[in-house]
Amino acid sequence: MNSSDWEEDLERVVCEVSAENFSAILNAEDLERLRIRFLGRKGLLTELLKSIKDLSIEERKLLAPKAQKIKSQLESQIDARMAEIEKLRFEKDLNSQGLDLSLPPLSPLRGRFHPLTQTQNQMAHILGLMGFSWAEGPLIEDDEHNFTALNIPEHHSARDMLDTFYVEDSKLMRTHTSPVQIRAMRQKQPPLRIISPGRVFRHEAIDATHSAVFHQVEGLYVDKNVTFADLKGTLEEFLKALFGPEIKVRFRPSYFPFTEPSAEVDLSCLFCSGTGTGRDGRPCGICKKTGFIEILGAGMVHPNVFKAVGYDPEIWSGFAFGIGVERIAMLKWQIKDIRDFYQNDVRFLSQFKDAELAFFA
Amino acid sequence: MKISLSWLKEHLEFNFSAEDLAEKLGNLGFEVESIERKGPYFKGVVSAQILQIEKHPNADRLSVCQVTDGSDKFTIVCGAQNIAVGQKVPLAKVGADLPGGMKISRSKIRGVESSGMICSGKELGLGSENGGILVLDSKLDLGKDMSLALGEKTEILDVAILPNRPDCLSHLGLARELSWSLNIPLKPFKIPELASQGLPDWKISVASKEDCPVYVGRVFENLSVGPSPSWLVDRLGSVGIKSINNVVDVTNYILMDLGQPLHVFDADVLEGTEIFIRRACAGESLVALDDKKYDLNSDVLVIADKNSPQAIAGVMGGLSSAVLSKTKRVFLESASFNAALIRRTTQALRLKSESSYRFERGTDPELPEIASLKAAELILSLAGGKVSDAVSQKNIKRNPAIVTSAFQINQALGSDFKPADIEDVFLRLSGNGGSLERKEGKDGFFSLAAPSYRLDIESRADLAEEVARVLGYQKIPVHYPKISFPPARKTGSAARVDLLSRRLKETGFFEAYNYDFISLADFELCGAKTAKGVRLKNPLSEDMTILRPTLLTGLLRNAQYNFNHGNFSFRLFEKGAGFYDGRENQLLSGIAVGKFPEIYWKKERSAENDFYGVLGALVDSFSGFELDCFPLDPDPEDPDLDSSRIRALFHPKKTVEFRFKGKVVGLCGLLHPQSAARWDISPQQREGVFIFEFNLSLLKKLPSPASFKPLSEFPAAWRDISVVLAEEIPYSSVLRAIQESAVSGLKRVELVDIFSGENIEKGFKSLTLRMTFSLNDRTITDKEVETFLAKILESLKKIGAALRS
Repeated sequence: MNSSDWEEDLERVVCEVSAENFSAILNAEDLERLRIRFLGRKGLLTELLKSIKDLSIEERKLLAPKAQKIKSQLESQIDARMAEIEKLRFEKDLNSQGLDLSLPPLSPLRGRFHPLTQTQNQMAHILGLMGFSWAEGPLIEDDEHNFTALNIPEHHSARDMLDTFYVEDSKLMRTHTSPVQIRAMRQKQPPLRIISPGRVFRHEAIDATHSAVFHQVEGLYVDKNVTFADLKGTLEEFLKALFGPEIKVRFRPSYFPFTEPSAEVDLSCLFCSGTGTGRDGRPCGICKKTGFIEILGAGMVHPNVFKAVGYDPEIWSGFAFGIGVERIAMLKWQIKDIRDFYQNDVRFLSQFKDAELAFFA
Repeated sequence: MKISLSWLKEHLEFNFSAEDLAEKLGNLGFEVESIERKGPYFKGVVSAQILQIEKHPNADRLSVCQVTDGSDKFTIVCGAQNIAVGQKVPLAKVGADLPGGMKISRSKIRGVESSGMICSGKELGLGSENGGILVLDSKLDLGKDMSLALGEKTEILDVAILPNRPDCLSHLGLARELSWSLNIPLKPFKIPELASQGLPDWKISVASKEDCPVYVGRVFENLSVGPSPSWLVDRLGSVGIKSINNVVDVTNYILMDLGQPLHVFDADVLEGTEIFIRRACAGESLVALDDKKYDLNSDVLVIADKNSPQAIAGVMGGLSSAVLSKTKRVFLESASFNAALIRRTTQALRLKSESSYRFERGTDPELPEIASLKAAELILSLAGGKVSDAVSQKNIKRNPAIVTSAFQINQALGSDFKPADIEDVFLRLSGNGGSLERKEGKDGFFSLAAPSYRLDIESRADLAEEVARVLGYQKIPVHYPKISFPPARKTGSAARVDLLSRRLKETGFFEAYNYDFISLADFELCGAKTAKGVRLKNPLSEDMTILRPTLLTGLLRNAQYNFNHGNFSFRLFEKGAGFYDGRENQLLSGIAVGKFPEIYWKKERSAENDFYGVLGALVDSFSGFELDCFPLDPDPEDPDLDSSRIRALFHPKKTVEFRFKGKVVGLCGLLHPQSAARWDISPQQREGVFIFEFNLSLLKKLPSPASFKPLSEFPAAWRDISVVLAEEIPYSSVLRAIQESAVSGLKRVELVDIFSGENIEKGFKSLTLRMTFSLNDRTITDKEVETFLAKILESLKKIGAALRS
């Protein structure tokens, strides 16, 4: 082949390339076919470039750059069209009919903790941050752990406050989780900081506000020089973490056989913000106009309880408190009937999204 | 306890309102549950007389009355049944204000105009009884303003007195408490002096001073027993006590006034002239004032004449010696009894009274003597006659002295009260019969003995409470305890339950809470032996007689409940105690039915809650606990196996047992069709009710920590192969055969499909398995994969599995 033939062939290829209407190529496959026709292993331009070796060096020097230029022009033309085709494809997709975004999404298969577990866990979590460890004990107890060691001797009228279920062998269903405190104190020397959450039993007819089975979280702290002021500080912070920093806490004298002094702890009403008047201007029905709601019982551990577990009340002092889990949950979610907790209707159970622990913020 | 404000004012000088008093009481630890107004809190009501009564033309139950107030006539429509012509009645005229904000206006009642209202006692706020209209004294003049003629105005406070403060169960008691704590003077309390009439011929014999530390008796002669004057009837009525006669009413008055329970006997009914305070003998019995017969024994203290018990000491008198209108001679008892003994009696006899309520909490040993005098004075003034001097036995223990200082009190409370303020509290507390002394040589220390009625003050802690109550709980500062180490954490079984419930929750289980008490019928349905159950001695109802041995009965009831309320797809779990064979087991149980989600528009996304789904959730939740799964053993060697509690609930062929170190710790499977029928679960639901229960007490505490195996960095290759084998060969044998081929490059085997039918011989099935191969040191070649596959197929041949052609 001589150089003029070669040049003629090149002219022909150039002609063929210019005959191609790039903008009419609408998909990547057609464009690829075009690329192969010219630039494939046996493509027209490729073949031509291969055959350049048959020419003389001078001719090659002259013609090769020309051919290379044509090749790279073609390549960039193809690339540019490819980019356009891609863009057209996206545009087509992006302009097409979208999904019906309002169709029901598929929720993951995930259960929830019972609202009482959530409430109990939240309380335990806060108290855990305050150094109270979790302790448990049996539900069937004996008289000694449930009563006597807690300064409630047999034939004491304080037992009237604790209606009891009895089982065989003079055992009973614990009426509070305080026996766990007795067990913990007998097992370990102070200092001691525990909570005993769990199930308790009272021999009471079941109605909207009474349940024969319910739950408590009790706390106990024993150390040297623990004072009533420490009790106030601990409970105030605990209740603020549970209900929000804006609440007010009030301590009133009360009586529990296992504490002295004893206190009833009230919270400024969550529904009327402690004003006694509801949003509708009528007297608040939740706190009965008082602006406060009873929330828990507490006190300094009675010296007789320390004596019963072998702690010297002259050295050690401590405080204890007990809070009803159902009561807190009912307040929090405004549940009116305590029996709802024990029905296990899945429509009920699925309403309680995991409780937030906002106090971390 | 009901406290009348006007009665309280007889003992205490104060001017604050009932509401203010309630607040002060609350701050002292006496919660006021209600405030009720009693007495003539009304206006525009006059005395009137009924002249004529006719039936209402349009209503059977109403009457139309003509009434006069002496000057005018009124037509009144009235609904009461106890009206009669000639009666004098209270008439609320048009414009009258009645308690509770009611205003009387002219109105038509069923077409007849009524110009006022004839009132009942309740409508006037005079009492809670509703026995029709209030009939007035026939001697009363007409037209009188009834607010001046009908008793005194007072507020009644319902005060909760906690068990440690029996000394406040009376008007004097509460007045005394307010007096010392608020520093308000108590009105002088006059102890009457009776002219000596000489000792009676009566003797008292106390068998045990422990049982009866104080006994004071008096004998009255020539009494005129009759109705009480209206002030006494009103007083008792205002605190909820019915009037009986002047003598009995005096004992009740003294009870509510001073807090001392008294009893009166008809002395003429008693045999002999000696009163015996002794334990009852076996076989003795007494018909008490409530007209019921009580069998007595040596645990019961009685008041007896020479023949038989006449009263259950401290609880209730006998019917035969009751003081009635014919009674002339009366024996008055004022005593103090052992609190625990009286409580044992009330519990054993299931009999309670206002007296026993006080005695079982403890009464003031100094009070019987004073109360007897006060009662005698009042009985003489109301019933005439004369009274003897007292015969008495006394054995009074003084309250212990407590040594403490203001510093110690502040130390216990964490407070900074001024020592002078604390010492002032000591001083006021110890007044009224207690004592306070400065300790010699110990600066700031005092020795304090509380008055005889303060049975609750025994230690320094009790004094700290008194100081805090009086100076104010709100005055004690807020302080934070120092932080504690080591950090708080959940350990042991609590951590285990926590972990497992979290894992179950993640697999779609909702947590349920059920009662621990179930019916005997449910208990037996599980297959548990009743002899091994724990029964309640005092169940609330038939449905709750025995403690649950399993949580499944409750969950099955929940399933039933949910089906009935239109919920057909759910997973529920419960954690809790199961009681069986002397053990309190920590159980974790669950139930799963239906699909997830129950309905979904993309059908392929709704997964059936089938056996493998539930099993998968459990295998995943219990990973790390080293459990192995086996088909339910149809014939376990040990029939007393823990799982025997619940085996009857499970389908024998569609249940697996989980074992830990060979021991069965849990079952998971289909609900037994028979149980399903008994639990009223409909056939559609029965097909897919899956249940499980694990006894966590048999598990190790926490799972072994996860271990990490490094991954091969070289690419993996996979092949799907189908093998045909006899239908009865379980998948586990296939896996074992593959394992036995000991191919080192085989990293994973997954079951892709199980197929039988077309092209597969009857009695055979085809399994498609995906095998993934890789090597740790280089990229695996096709040739190596083929070699491995050949080895595996060789091994599968041994169980009769051939490559599907």
